[in-house]
Amino acid sequence: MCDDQFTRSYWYAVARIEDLPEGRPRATKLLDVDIDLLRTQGQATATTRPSDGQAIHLPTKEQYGHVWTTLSESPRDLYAMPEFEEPGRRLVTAGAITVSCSGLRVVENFLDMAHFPFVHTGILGEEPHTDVAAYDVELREDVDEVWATKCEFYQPKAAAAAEGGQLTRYMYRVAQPFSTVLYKTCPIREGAWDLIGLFIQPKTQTECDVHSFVLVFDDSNSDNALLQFQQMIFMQDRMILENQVPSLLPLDPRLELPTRADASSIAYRRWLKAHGQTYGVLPQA
Amino acid sequence: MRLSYGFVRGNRLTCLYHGWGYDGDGACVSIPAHPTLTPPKTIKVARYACVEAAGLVWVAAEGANDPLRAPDGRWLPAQTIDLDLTLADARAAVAAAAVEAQAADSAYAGSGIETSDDSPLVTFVDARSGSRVLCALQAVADDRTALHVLVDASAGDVKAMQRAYAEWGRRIRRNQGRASLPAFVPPAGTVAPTSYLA
Repeated sequence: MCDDQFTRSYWYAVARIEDLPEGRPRATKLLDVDIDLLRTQGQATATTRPSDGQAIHLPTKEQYGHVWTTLSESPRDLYAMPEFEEPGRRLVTAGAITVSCSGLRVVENFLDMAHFPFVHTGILGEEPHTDVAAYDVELREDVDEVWATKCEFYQPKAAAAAEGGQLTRYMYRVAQPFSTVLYKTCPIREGAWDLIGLFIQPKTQTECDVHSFVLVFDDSNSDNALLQFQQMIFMQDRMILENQVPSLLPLDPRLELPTRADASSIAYRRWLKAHGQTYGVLPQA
Repeated sequence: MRLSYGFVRGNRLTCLYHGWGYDGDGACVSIPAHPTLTPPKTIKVARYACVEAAGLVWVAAEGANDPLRAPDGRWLPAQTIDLDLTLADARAAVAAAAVEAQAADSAYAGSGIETSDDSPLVTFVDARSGSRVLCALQAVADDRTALHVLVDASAGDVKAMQRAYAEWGRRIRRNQGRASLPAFVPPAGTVAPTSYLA
């Protein structure tokens, strides 16, 4: 049972739209609650499956290629990504990948550039280009989001469409405790950002389904090639994530020592702490 | 992330996740994300007493005071196997497999298996060659044990022994949890040479 009101106040992606066809129910879990998903007469529905008592219908919406639901009666608005309306972009979704750790760990790993040369060797990073230059971090209070901007990192193969190495510019956005998007220099279109994002569905405190997407300008790669690139990167991350000790995210700054490169992670943990996050975090000593 | 997933480079133990390098004292000496930074002395990992003996690296558990009782002789590695067993169950599985290994030669009547309830070691004599086999058990977690199999370096055909006991170890892994083990048969192409039978 999740009594963390901050966590409960958000919408969560629970399936890709194409993975919930008419009349084919799916059973899943959200914040320790068993949920049945079903599409009837074109409409996605989500129903809790209580061990006793009455099933409750949850609100649903379909956006950003996914079906979303929430346990809140007055959820926060799902965050805006106007890039989904831009012509010429391609959306590729990877489907749910289960990861055995707190979903907050998945967000934090996503924000981290320092691991690129060691975990994504030869793709997102490569020695001796290991330096993480200083970048800006801010809490945008109007939308209650954490942003890291002016991030730069040398990447041998930044995307499926990249030819050779480049200094890639990044912006990271944490729009929800369990959702994060990065905006990355588009290798083929001057001045444009490619989007890569994670919609994380916390099933329990230590297990999540990660629904990822790429929303890019790319004229040369097939959907399958884009998908395979994303999957290759994510499988490298999963090996790290599932071996994290502890699998919950510690908010006590004494437990995992940050450096200047971890400014985004420090801001993320502070933001969670300020909102009283308890779900998926290590209890305070 | 545990350092055991890392790698050794230039005499530094290096973390797989962010490449932080640690020296023999456990002090962090490099943080690749900040190449010009000298890591503060406070970044240190725990260090354990460590000895090399009998072809193995031995680490003292925290608070251990007993001297190391490593077997004599020179030993060469055959295989390391992860078993989903408690230390006691792993010892029993290894001892049972050792019986099969000895029984493979009916003419064998040498010394038996040596182990004890509190020992991480099982030794026995290979029936074909008459040379010794050493099994060192490492409790990794409550229900996980690593089995290191080594063969006597003075065995007649050491390479054949290493191959045969690598397969013997893998067979324990395949059979873990089963009540009885099928008979030990050396893998094809590793039939014991004549010197084993002498």
